[in-house]
Amino acid sequence: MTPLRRTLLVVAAAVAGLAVWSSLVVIDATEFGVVTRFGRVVRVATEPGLRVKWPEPFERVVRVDRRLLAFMPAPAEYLSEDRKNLVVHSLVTWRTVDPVRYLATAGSRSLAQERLADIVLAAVGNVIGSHPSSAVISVDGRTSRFAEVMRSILDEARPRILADYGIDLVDVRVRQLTLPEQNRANVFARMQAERGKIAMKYRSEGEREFRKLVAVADHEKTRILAEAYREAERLKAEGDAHAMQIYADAFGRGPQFYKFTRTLSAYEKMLDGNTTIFLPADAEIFKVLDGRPAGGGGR
Amino acid sequence: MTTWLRTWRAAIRPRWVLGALALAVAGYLGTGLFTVAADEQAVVRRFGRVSARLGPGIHYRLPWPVDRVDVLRTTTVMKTGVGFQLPDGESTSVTGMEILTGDTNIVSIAIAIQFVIANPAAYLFEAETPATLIGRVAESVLTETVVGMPVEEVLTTGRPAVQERVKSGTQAILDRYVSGIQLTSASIMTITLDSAVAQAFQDVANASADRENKINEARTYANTVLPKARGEAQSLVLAAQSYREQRVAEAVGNTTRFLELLGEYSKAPEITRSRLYLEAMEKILPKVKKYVIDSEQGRQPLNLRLSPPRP
Repeated sequence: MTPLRRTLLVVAAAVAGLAVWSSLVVIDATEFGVVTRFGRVVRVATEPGLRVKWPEPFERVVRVDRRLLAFMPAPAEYLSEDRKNLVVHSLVTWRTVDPVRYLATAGSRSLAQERLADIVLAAVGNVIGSHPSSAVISVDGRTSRFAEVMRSILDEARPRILADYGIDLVDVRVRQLTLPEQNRANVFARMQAERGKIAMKYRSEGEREFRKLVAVADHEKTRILAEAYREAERLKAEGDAHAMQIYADAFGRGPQFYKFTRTLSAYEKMLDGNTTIFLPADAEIFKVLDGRPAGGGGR
Repeated sequence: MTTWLRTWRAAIRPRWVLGALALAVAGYLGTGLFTVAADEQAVVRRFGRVSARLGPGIHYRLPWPVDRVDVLRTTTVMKTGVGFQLPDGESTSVTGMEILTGDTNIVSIAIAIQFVIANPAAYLFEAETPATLIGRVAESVLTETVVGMPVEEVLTTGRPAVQERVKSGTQAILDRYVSGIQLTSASIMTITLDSAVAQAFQDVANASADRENKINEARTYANTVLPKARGEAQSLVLAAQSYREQRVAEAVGNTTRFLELLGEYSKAPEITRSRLYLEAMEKILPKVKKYVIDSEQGRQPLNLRLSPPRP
């Protein structure tokens, strides 16, 4: 073997090895393999596994990610139907379903996301512009049409993106909803005023409740005392009446005698050291002195 | 050319070559050995296609380029932050992401989410970086939830509801994305307010406390005043009762004496009468100044001076 022939043999073997190597292709579970022959798509490997193709310059494999991909377009400001500015930070998730179409129209991920961003942001603008801000911002979660609004954004953009780019727009979500920077000061001022009002309401409620409770307690106190007074007076009157009845019963049995004894006891009380009395000499007490028989009175 | 080949052949004998080759092959095949720890699972791909899911232990796979293996921790709970970045979130000064409430207030909320990988194959092959996706999706669910609530509720009673809705809502979306992730918890770390309004919110909390204090004060007042009034009332009634009893007892006492006297009187009216009269006079007359006038007969007044005259 001449050295030349030996060299040729080695080169041929190397080329053959390379050709075999480049005609075998592994398609991963995360991707589609698009086989192109001189740039023209000949077949698509949608299932993962080992594939055979013509070696390099004849056939090439372009890999397209088939996983769910997510990106966040730049925040955009929109005007709602009732002229309120809203800044929407969105989250877009998508997945390539038609790799051939995807390669033909978008080609690369960054380009695809640019297109998607344009379409999605326009759709968000359309939908938000045709709803009042209260459709998304509302104090009662049950009446909020947030989910409905988001679905209509998706419904608007989805078919077009699928048809144009072979991309399934899986979801458009509002990651963050804010107000434009220049509105913040106003919002904070309003929040402050609202809180001030609420604080004042609480305080006056406390005051009112306090007064009410105190008044109720005072009223109750007055009522209790009044009732007690009534009851006490009733008891006293009852006692007086009962006593009077007892007196009347007893004295009624001897009215004359009562008058007599009562008069005597009245004298005992009425007449003391400051009293001067003039007694007629024929007063009953002196009757014995006069020599007349005592106890002859009986007036 | 031929000279170096000859010297090479002379230097390396076939035995050596075979030995080196065998060693290389053994080493190459040896790279296929791998272990899976107790908290891990492995997914093996042969030529890109998922061929096996392996649990803990020592395993063998064919070396590159045939088989590829990914080992994932599946039982370890992992953490991700909403509104803040881990591991910065471990520090105390977490402010969270700004969110609009239903009554157009601005609050900042930070949520910590814990998750496990429930389906390693889905986690690896269905979505790009599912772990970062969790935070983004949770942010959107949080925004959606809070924008339908008044700020008062978010700050106070609504916290558990927010956590629950973030967890279930995020899980539902991640399931739809076939992410292979299972959330175990979503907990609000902080809810903060911009310094411009924090004071005002604090004042509302204070006012609420003031209201409670005021009401308690009034209750305390009622609780002291009413028992006192009841006590007073009771003593009033008791006093009246004793008055009644006293009056009756007095009456009974007085009349008893009278009735006894009356009994005596009716037996001997004249004597009793005189006796009573004289007894009374005996009691009265020593105390008083007395002049006895015998006017009828025209006699001089007679001063008995039964007691010394008072000054």
